Amino acid sequence: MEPLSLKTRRLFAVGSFFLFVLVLPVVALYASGYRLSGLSLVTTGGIHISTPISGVSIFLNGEEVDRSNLFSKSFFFDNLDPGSYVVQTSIEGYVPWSKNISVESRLVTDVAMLAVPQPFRILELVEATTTEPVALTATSTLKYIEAAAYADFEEEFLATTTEDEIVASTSEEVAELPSDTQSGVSLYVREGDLSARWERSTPPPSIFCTKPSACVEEFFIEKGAGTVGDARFFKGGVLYRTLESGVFFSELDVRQPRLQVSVYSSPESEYRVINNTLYIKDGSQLYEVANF
Amino acid sequence: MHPKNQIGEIPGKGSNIAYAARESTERIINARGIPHEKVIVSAFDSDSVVYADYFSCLTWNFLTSDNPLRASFQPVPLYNNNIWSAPMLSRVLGYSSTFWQMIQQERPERLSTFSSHAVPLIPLIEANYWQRNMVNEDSRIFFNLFMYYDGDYDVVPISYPISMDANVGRTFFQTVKNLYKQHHRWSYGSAENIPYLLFHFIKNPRIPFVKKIRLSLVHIEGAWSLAVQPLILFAVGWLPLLIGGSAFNTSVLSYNLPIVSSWFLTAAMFGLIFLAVYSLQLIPKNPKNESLRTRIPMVFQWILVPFTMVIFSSIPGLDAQIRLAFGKYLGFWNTPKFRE
Repeated sequence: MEPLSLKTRRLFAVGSFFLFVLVLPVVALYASGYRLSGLSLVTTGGIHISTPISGVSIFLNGEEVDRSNLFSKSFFFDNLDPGSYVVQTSIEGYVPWSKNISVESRLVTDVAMLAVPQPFRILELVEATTTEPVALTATSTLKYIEAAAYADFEEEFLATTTEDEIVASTSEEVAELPSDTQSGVSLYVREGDLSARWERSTPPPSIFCTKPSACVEEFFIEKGAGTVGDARFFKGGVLYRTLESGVFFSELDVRQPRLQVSVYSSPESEYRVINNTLYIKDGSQLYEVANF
Repeated sequence: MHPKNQIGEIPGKGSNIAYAARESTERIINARGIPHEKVIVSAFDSDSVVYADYFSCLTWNFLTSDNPLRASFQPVPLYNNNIWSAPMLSRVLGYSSTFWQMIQQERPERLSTFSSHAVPLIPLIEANYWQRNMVNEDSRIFFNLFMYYDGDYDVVPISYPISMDANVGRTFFQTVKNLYKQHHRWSYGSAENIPYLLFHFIKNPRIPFVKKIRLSLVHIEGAWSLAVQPLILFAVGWLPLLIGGSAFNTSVLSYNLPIVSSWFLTAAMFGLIFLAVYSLQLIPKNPKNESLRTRIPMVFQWILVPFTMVIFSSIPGLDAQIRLAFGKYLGFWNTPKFRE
């Protein structure tokens, strides 16, 4: 069999070259967010949303646009005209989440859903004794644990932050020490207010940006509504307690509405995170937040 | 027997067949008075097995060639001898080499001799046989002759296969090691031809300028592609996201890049699917169990190509080229193939 002639192959090569020259700018413009509208080019933007769990319905301006599953939990919606959009998520057993976001031309607004279970399943921890054996059931609000484990939990709470210490933390010297730091973000409690600050010199992540081109270095998570005692990162959000109302969990995002839920309402309550599980102490009672 | 430790030689195929051809010319061809212009020399690797009509086919090509004494003859290498006992990795790499050679046969102006090939005796004598101090004498003999005849020398593709062993070691890890070293040697050979070409192109004004430019570009681009293109294909979808910085990472382009690159890679995959199906035509019958069950893996094995391209093409290619650039010259490494 004879190979293709040089002339035929050159024709293929020239044809391929012109196809490349034709396709390249079209693909480059498309990938950069340009779209044809009538006879003119317009720029578009996009939204990228990630969901931590499967089965989440995603709504864009009230219309369901996708649903997460085992293999796909991040979604990119492009071809969006610049402007304001409302992103919502919905899944049974979790607090509805929504966010007002701005889309800018040729930029992508990144947002992450915060999955907060609803309602919280709070179990009262009871020290088990040999004289009082009780079998737990799925619906029980009591959880019997061994005496030694109970003692360990109580010990964790011994290092309690007192009210005096909270007042002392309002002094400027102490206030500059972060309550917690994670991935370049620090939480500060100053004069009873809670704020998050980006500590690195690199541009901050999208949670600090009201829109992709406008970011802040610090924003308040809680200001004025209560006197924040302490705060820490937990399960993608921020856990904090106020002296007036108890333990709260908040989303860490400058954009509104910010998801904030009351985990345990009692002024006397304190919390600890032990082995990634949230425990609360209210007076002499210990509680475990079982589904968080 | 070829004596050991000859000055100017490295132990290997090149020095061996050069010795054998010279001895055969003197002791057989000259002794029997066979005209040199009627002799063509087949230089086979030790694992080469010819099919029934190979020599007829070679003879026909020699006799019908425009200028048979200014051409070498190149069959298509198949790695079929032990294909049914070779691991998937060896099979994919073997058939990848076969398909590459078939592509090259469709553009003979880029073709050089590779592995088992044939050369007419007269040019072979005039070039003083194969070079004895080279790792890759197979391609170098073509360039030796190309320079000797001032660019008036070609490779004629023979559309007929020759069967060799797929690269199989005694253990899987030995196979992996051997495959890497084999491709390392091949890459080194293609890279070491470039300075040879450029040197002679500068020194030899009788070679047409257009041929010099074309051949230089073909081989420089070939060496670059071999080492770099697999890495580009591997990384184009995600590497810009890692090194692009936050300004790039918030752009629509950064989100679309993996999507657009997947379009092109998916389109390219159709070529791979074609190769997978076509390779079934080249595989001999399984001597132990010829059934659909044994054939199906021969198609799905091609899923390994994205990995083999990087691990057994790009990395040994870069390794060989960097080694050559820093003067760490490679000796001949004899591929220890194993057949059940």
